[in-house]
Amino acid sequence: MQLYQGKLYAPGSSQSCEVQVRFETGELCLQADGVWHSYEKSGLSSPAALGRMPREIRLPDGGLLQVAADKALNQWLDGDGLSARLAAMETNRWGILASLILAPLCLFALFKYAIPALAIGFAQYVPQSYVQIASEHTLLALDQSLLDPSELDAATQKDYLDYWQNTVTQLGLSPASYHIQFRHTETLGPNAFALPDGTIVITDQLVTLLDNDKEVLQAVLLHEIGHVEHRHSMRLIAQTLVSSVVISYMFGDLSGMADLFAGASTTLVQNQFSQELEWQADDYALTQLDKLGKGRDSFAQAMEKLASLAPSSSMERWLSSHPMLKDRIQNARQDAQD
Amino acid sequence: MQPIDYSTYSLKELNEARKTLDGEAHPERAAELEQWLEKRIAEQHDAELARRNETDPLRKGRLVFHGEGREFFGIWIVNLLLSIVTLGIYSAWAKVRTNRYFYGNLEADGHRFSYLAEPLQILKGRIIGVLLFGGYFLASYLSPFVAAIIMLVLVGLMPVLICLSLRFNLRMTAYRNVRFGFKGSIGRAYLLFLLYPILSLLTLYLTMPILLKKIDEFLYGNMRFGDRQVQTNLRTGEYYVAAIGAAIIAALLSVVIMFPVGLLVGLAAGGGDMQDGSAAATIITIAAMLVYILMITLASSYYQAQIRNHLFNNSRIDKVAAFHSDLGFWALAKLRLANLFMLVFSLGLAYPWVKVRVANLFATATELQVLAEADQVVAVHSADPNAIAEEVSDIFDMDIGLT
Repeated sequence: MQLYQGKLYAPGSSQSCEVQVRFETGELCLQADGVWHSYEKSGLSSPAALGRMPREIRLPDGGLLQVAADKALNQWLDGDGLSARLAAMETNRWGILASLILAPLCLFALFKYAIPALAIGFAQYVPQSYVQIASEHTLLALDQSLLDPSELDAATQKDYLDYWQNTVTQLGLSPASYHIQFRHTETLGPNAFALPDGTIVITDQLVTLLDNDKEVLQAVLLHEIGHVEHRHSMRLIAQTLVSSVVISYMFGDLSGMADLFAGASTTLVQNQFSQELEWQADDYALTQLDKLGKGRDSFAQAMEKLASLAPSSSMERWLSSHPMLKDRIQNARQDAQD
Repeated sequence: MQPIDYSTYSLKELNEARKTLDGEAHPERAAELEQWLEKRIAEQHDAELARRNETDPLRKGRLVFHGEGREFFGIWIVNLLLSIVTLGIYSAWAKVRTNRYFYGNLEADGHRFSYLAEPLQILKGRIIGVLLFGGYFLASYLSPFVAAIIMLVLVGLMPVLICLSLRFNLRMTAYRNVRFGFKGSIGRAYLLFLLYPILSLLTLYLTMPILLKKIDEFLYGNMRFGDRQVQTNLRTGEYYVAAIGAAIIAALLSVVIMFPVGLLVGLAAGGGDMQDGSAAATIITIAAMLVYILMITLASSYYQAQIRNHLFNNSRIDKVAAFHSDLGFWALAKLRLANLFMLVFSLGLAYPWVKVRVANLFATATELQVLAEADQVVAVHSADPNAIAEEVSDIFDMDIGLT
């Protein structure tokens, strides 16, 4: 068999010398200082071939033998094991081409289908007590920071609550699971959000923006109920968790500016998830409005009011957690004509 | 005649004695003197040689990186696919293969580096990392208060994680069949990564360069190659020069570029209607992002090049190796900007070339000077630490290496 030139590193020190190596059936023979030594193949270890890198062969005594790689040597060391076949894919033109096509497809399928499906499954199994505590603590934290007690008088509040109770009952939902909380805020502006336990917080600013129109506010509240009914909070938690783990593994070993890249893609992915949930909540609200026999126009009006607050730019399609208001208004109006 | 004990004579005294001695009258004594003279001269020569060897390199040469973008592309894309279809399990194998590729293709003085971690060690660390991260994540949604407590605990553990991670990564790196190691104490890590940063905050970060220097001394001065310790001799002034230089670059760029761009966009918006206003807002957002990227890249490249060169030029392994680094600020900044554009416009597919280009630049900027005892380093054996700490710090993004 062919004679290979190699470098032998002594066990336990930085010394090395040039050696000649033969790879026989079942044993490795090497010549150092004119003397031939032989090692049984079963006592050697070597990680699978990697590119054109020289092969590192660990000897039983802790010494390290380094030999330039070639086909025959790779075959002798790696055989036909699983790791050898996976390693061979890395240098095989068809293996690379197949990966180049399949990897993006699988990634797309992972983010588009697998993770959302996983999240829906996860949301079903979250215990009610977790949901309860999470909601209470979130509201408590918000009350400590961004929210102040409502400045609406008690009569107005009761008026809204009665109207709301009526709506909930008409839709056949349990009135006990949805309660409204009014809050005043300088920082959040006109806003409404649902906590996963069914508590819906409305800011005074939103009530003012909607000109105290109960029907328009009702459309907004139905949208928030949509989030609760579909357990969106829990889905979003699961989706965010899984996708940030996946992205951090994909970009994990990049440093510097690439972190920005990873951060940006996390935001983009997150926003796409979030927008999908908003659409689902919108559709829920529109369907319920139909059920109540109210026009879908009240929803469109609410969106128009919100749209009047700030000019939008086309960048928002990617940078915002909500779909563009323009599209949402169109969606409500278009369905109404159907 | 009395015999004279020449063993106490210095070379100079022996020379004097030989000159004054009548060789023909006392041949035995002359012969003895000659012998002593020869011995002393040989001794002096050896001492001279030894002294020179400790400081003068036997050889010197630049590091060479043998990896190629195309070759690594195949490795990367196949491992990426396998990682995805195994739902992340194969990523531990992928990480080992990637590290082996980059270590094993880096050559210094004719010898290559090795990466020795086993995939199962990495996998174990990753599973614990994901569990911890997931636990923290779910707890943070359960209650902001619980999240704050967990965060405090993690911050408190950070110095330990840093030390364990450094130890693992260095233990898994070998050169000439001798492993590296890290001997930094966890107590010192608490001072450097927890207490001093808080103190530095109190001085409005004016003492930050001092802290960064102390951190580098900790990170590199505790590094070992076999039984030899790396010695550093860093200067605080260099850290101030690098930090102030980086700050000046950032400030200049934001004034010189951002100001005119803002003005132009403002003028354009002022002349148009509402539609143009939102377009202008979009343009200014993009422009601001680009300038920010440019600013951060240039400033951080300046800092990194300065500090890396200073660090390498003032670190050595006694009698084994000395280093020299001449990484250019502009070369680094240019590479980073080009890499970013390559990544963005190839939708990430240029990643293998990016990694190879970076490895190439750092290798060619580094010179190794081999000293007399490079062959005599002895490996130190200790139990294998596991990969948990490194993975945990990875996923919480607490990797603190600055160079």
